[in-house]
Parts: sequence; C-alpha cells; structure tokens
Amino acid sequence: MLTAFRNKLFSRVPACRFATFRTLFAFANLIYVIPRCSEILNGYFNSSFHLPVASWIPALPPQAGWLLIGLQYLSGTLLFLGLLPRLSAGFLLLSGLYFFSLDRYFYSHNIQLHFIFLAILTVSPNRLSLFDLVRGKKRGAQAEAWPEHLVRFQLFVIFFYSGLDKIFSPFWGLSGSFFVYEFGHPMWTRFSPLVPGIISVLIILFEFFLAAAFLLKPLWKFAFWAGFFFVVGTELLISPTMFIWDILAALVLFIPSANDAIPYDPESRFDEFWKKILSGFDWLGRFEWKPVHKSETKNNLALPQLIFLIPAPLYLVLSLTHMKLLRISHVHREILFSGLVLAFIFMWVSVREKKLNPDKNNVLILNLNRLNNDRDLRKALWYVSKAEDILIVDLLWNPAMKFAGRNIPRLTLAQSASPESLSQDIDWSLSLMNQMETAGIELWPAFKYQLMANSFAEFLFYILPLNKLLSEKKPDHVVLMRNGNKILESVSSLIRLRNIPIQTV
Amino acid sequence: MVLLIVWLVLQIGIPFFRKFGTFPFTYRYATYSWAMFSKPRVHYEVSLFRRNSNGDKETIPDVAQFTSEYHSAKTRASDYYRTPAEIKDRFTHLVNYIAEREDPNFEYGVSIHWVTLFDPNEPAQWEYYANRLQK
Repeated sequence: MLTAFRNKLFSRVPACRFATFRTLFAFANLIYVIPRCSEILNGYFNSSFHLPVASWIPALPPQAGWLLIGLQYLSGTLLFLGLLPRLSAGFLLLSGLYFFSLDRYFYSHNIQLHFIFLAILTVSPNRLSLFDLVRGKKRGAQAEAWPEHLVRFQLFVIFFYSGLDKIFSPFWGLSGSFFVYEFGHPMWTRFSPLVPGIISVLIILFEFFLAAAFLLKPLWKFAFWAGFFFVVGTELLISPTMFIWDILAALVLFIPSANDAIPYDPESRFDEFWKKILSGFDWLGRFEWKPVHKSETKNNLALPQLIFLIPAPLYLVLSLTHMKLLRISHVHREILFSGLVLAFIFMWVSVREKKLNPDKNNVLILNLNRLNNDRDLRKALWYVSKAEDILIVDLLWNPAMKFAGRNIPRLTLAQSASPESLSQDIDWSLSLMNQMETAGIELWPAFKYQLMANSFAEFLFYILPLNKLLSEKKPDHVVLMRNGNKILESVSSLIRLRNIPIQTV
Repeated sequence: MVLLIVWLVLQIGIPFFRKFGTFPFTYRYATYSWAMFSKPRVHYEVSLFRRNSNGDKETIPDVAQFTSEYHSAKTRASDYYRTPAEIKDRFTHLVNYIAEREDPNFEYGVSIHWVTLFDPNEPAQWEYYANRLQK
C-alpha cells in the first residue's frame, strides 16, 4: 500500500499543468495579496497599538516595511514569470507571514490558504517558466506529481473541515440558525420554517461533495465545474476576493489534457495569426495543430472562438476586474464580473456545441468499447444530435437505443463479415495496405501484423466490415468512441484514408 | 517521502485538534481550522473614552495615534468576525496600552454594547477600565 502511495506521489505528469497553476496564482498574488500587504502596512504605521500573534515578533519600522513591499513586488513578478520560482515563493511566504503576524486582527482563512499554496510552491521542483508555457516548446516536459497532489489534498481538507464544522457548530448546525441570525425571517421562511434548515443541509452536503471531488480521481471531471460555480457564487454573495482567485487557479489542476486536433490553413494569415495567439495562451497544451488546406478544412468553428476553451485568458481577464487600480464601485465591479462569467459560460457551451456538433447530416458513431457504455454513447449522440441520419456501429452486438425521441439504429461490425468473401477480402486488404502506403499514411505496425498472424480474425471481423460500411454508407462525419482499444489506430487510418473528419469522444 | 507524509498528517491533524481538542473531542470554534462562515459575525458598538475624578466621560484627545479605527468618545458599530472573548481581549489590551501612555489622572475605558449575540447568558453591555496609577 505504501509503495502504491509512493508511486502515486512520484509518478510523472505533464509539467505544464502545475506551472500554469503557479503562473495564475502568482498573478493573483501580484494584484491582490501584495496590495493588501501594502494596505495593512499603511494601517499598521498609522496607529501605535498592535497585538502581535506572539509577543517576541519584532515591530516593523516604516522604511523596512516599504522596502519589504518593494521586494515583494519583485518576487511576485519573478514568480509570475517562473524565474527563480522557489526562492520567490519562499520570500513571499516568509515576508507575508511576518506582515500578517504583526497583529492578530489581520488573520483570515483566505490568507492561510494563500500561505499554504506558497509553501507548496517553495518546495516544488517544477521549473517551467512563463516563457516556456507561451512558446510551448517544452510541452512534453514532465514533473513529479506530488506538488499537484498536495494542492488537491489541501482543497479537500478545506472543504471537508468547512462542512464538518458547520455540522457541529451551534451557530450553523442542521437547523439553519445561521441564516435566521444573519437575515432574520425573510420571505422564504414564510413558505416553511424548514427552509433555512434545508439550505443549511444542502450547503453542508455540497461542501462534502466538493471535498470528495477534489480528492477522488473518478470525480475530478466534476471538480472543475462544481468548484467554479461555488467560488463564483461565493464571490457574488460575499466578495471574499483572494480566496476565489486562489481556488480558481488551483482548479486548473483538474482540467484534463484534451489534445483536440485543430485544423488550420498555414497559407492563411488569419489562421496563422490566431494560431499564434491561441498557442500563446494554451499553456495546458489542449490543442494539437493540424495543417490542412482551406478547401479540406471541414471544421465549422472560427479559430478566435477557441479562446473560450482554454482557461488562462479567462482567469487573467476575470481577475483584472477586481484589481484595485480599476477604480469602479463594488456594484459595478460585481456586474462586470458576473457579465464576464455569463459570457464565458455562454460562449463555452456554444463553442463546445459547435465543435462537437458538426453541421453534418450523415453521421456514423463507431463504438470501439467492448461494452455497451450507454452513458458515453448518449454523450456522443448529444454531440451529433442535429444530424439527420445517425448509425451506431459497435464491435459487439448491442440493442438499438432511443435518444431524444428518436430510434437510433445499431449495427455490429462482425455481423457483416462473411466467410465466403474471405479470399476476396484478403486481396482487398493487401491492396488497401498499398493504397495507404502510397497515400503516405503511416500504418500502425501491428496493422500489418494483424493481416498475417493470430489477430487476423480481428482484422477480418472489424476492419474489413468497417471498410465496406464506409463505402456503402458514405458518412460525412465519424464519431469515434475510444477506450484504449488496440484497433483504434487501424480504424483511424482507414477513416482518414477516405478523408472523413473524425471526432473522438 | 517522510516529509510529504508529515505534511499531509499536519494538514489533516491540526484543524482536527483545533476544532475538537483531545479526548473526549468536544467541538469548539477555533481559528486555523477551516471554519469558514460556521460562526456568524458578532455585531457590536464600541465607545472609547476617559473618565475624570467625578466619573464624567470625556474624549481621549489623541486616540488616533493608538488606533485609527475609533474616534473617542463616539460610538462605532463594528462586526469583527470572531468571538466576543477575542474582542474583549483586544480592547482590554488597547485600554491598558492607552492608560500607560496617557494622563494618569484619568481612568480610561471601553464600553461595548452587543447588538446581536448568540449567547443569551452574556450581558448586553461590557465595560472595562484601566488607570496607570491604580496598577
């Protein structure tokens, strides 16, 4: 068990993920935390009475204070750029701890979380700089996973204890007394006296769900959106500022790498320009650029819209709305913030739908999973729900299914294989190999092997029937449901040979 | 590896013992234990003043040098986030601090009126006085 734990902590993960977290976190540090330290010092120097956390903590003379603030800005900038990140984070941590221990009044949970993240950054060996992220040259770089796990674990600890505290706290509990205390008996309590209690329990349950989603890998896919809506909602309700930016930066660690193939025309200046912009912000390496001539581009998505699928620009723009230099009132700030959030959600959904719901009429969904995975299949169907003609093709037999009131037919590849056509199929398969090699399509090594060895049956029962099906059905779009299946490469090669666009789910 | 385990144990252990103490693990509100919003704000009104030998309340002339938040002897509403005990502790220290530095012929005081408070056993008013000569 200890070995498994050790392997998990020291496994190799893409270095760009933690570096993106560090960069966004450092940005929030620059625009919130250091100005906050500056404000605190201002108040500190304006009055002589202070109650330090411990009596031995030395008082701070004004000159030394402003020098430390200057050094904090320097360290913050270095941390943002990813230059000397450990030294910068260490300095920010120690100087911040000192500032906030000058008076017990300065303590907040927000700053405690911020310091814990700084401590993790101080010991993290990740050395990918902002320049590396923007240039994307070290995209394949890997790093040890433990700093990511520490951040995720910290999120779990925060929300777990926050939920637990609310259960035991006499001020919150399960009766909703907190709401009655804070808001009196507003309209909603007139419907039922149980309403405050129900709200109270729901919040506790949601915090426990968040804690579980941050800790357990199968729930990570929910962690990003659940966390996003929670902190954005919290921001709009109570404006805790620093907390939401630290959490939003940490949510980057739950975004899976997509490797979406994005077609672009290298001869088009517009495409080249947007490729540069998007690549510059695609710090997580979500896009894989495929040079395609314009006439062959079957993507119905304009490149600028893809900006909504990468997190860094959204984070930078959103956090700037709360910058002190932006001299607008609190109400206007929140309106601007919520407007941007709504615009982001709307654009994200619209781009996702456009990207995954191509304007095609004849769609073939190829289920390479050996099991009848209904949930994934419904997801694939949702992506292509506008298509008029949909056929699901499975490796193994599965019953037809109903989706959005339509009966979607299903076919099993092996059904259409016939022993009679064996010799004919072998001739065809050899000519197919020649065609592929002539067309410059790289054959998966085992593809050839499949033709001659024990896996021949798989080739016979899956690849040949699929080729026939593609000839007869002539789909203009294929959705591939993959699950690490070994025939995936052969199938992809076959479909690419026919110039049919593929969307993988 | 050992340091990582120690870190994880501390992160999970410290909030637990701050919240529940040692056996028999009784709950209490505590800082450094991730207890966000589990305790409502304590709303109160503060007045800082000094009293002459007749017991009349007066303004502390240069209170701003000690604290920039309060203007003697005006009452100011506040909602410091944590417990009444912490608030009392802070103002006790503040009044002692002022008394040590100001005219010893006066008695320095703070009066706090709890506007909203959960504990019904707590009196609605709390006052504290200090005088350098009486120490």
